[in-house]
Amino acid sequence: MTQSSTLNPTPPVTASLHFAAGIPGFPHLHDFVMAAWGKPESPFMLMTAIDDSDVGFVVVSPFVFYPEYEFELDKSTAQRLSLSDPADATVMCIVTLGERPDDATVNLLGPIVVNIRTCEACQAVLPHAGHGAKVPLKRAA
Amino acid sequence: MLVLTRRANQSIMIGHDIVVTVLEVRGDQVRLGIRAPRSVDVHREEVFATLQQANKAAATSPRDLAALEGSAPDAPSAETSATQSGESQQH
Repeated sequence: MTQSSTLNPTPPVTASLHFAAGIPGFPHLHDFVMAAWGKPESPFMLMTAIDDSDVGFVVVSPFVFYPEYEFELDKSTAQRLSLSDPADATVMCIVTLGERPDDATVNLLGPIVVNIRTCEACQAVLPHAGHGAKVPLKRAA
Repeated sequence: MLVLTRRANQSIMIGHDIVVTVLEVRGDQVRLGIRAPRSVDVHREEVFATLQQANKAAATSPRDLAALEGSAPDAPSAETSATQSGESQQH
């Protein structure tokens, strides 16, 4: 499966996501609530750990900034999320904010993949796709 | 650290259900086959470390993020990203 064009580009409207395996660096955190973040109409969302309210991530659909972004989801990740239909999947990437808004970067190496039917999520790892973990949100002209 | 010697086509078991097999040794490279349950993540260590570091750098207290909300990066509008990408560089 899985071209970016067939993935659902909208963030999940669901209130919370379950990461059965945690995420790298935070293996103990499994449940996150989603909320709007940023200016009105912002594409960003805030993902806050339910078990540790000091841990939050700003996430965004990568396709907002990189419409050509695509990757192939490996079979075991798809199976783990019970994903058989790409229409059930959505993708978000973690944003690292910098000193200034222009310094923000996005992690395209480890996209968060969500089964929007079950709210199961995981951070996929794409070592072969050539995507970086700190890609500027703002493209060089 | 446990150190074991294995030859090509020999394996080690980790727990009950993880099997690591040496498939091929050629020069300074070793090809491994790993059979593990779906619940176990298998990653190259350096890639996993990159993600760990990226996630730790990105994690922020939601209280701090609430204060930063007004200075969130701008999303490219459809036109600016397609045809006027230079404009946003001005300020």
